[in-house]
Amino acid sequence: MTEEDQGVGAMIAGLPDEAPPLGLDARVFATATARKRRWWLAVPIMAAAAAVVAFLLIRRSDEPTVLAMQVRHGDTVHRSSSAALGDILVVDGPKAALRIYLNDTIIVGACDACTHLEAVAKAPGVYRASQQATGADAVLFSAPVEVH
Amino acid sequence: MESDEDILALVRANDKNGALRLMLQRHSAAVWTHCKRVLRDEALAQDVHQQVFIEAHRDCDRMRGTGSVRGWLFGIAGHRCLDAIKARRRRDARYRDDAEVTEVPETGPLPTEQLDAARRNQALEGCLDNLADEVRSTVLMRFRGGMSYAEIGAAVDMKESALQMRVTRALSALRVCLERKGVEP
Repeated sequence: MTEEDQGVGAMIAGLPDEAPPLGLDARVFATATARKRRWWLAVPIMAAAAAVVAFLLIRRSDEPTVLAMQVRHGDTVHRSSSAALGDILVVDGPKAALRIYLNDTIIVGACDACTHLEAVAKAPGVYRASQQATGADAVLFSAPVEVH
Repeated sequence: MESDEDILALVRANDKNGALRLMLQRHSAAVWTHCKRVLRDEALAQDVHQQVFIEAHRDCDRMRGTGSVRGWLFGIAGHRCLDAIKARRRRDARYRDDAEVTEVPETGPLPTEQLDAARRNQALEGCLDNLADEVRSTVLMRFRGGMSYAEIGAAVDMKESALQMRVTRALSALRVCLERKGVEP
């Protein structure tokens, strides 16, 4: 290597450094020191979450989406939109506050945190049942049953 | 040059974050400039600079007992820059021969005989740009990183003799280029 070439080497060694772009060092530090994600920890968490969702879905699927009020006439119980005076109106459902109304105003049967409710149709009019789960705002109503 | 004994002490104490903080404070500019000079692409240089320090943080245990911290960082930078160059070359399908130095247009000496340091540096940067990427990287590792040929060889997986030859030829080409620009080395 000639002396001139060595001089070039010295020139290269003497080149100034350039400051890195603003924020680059902070970004690099943050990235390098960020905790590594332990993906395997997510597996039991995801499994537990999936189990909870599945449980809720199954539980929900057991609940009637429409509240049905049935009519007991003698020994038979059937669904009907009409009944006769003296028939018994029957409501079954999950544990909830159940009500049977006459003309949407008079409560003729009620129970809280129960799964079964009956009321005798003593007066003509339109009967309807309602169901409100504990702590829930929503109230589910049955189709009307007209009593003649 | 500032001693890096404190960085090595932090590494020995297993304080990797502290060591990284000091490495960034002390050597970020040098590594950044190296990456930018070798890659000539600011965005790519930022990526590689980040990779270098992430790798340094992860593997700083291996630094114990090796040469200088700066040299070690330049070794990682050299390796990562070459990876980036290869990736870019595959992408661009462009290739320049190892020893090739692009002909610089004959502009003749600049009017003033005495170029100030800034202009000399500018001329040198221009000449460095004309070197093939791997050659420029080797030259910078040697003279900017202060790395021995053995250290460079370990970083880029090449024989010392080949690297020595590469640098000798590159310096010669740079001298010719500088002389054409009116700069006396």
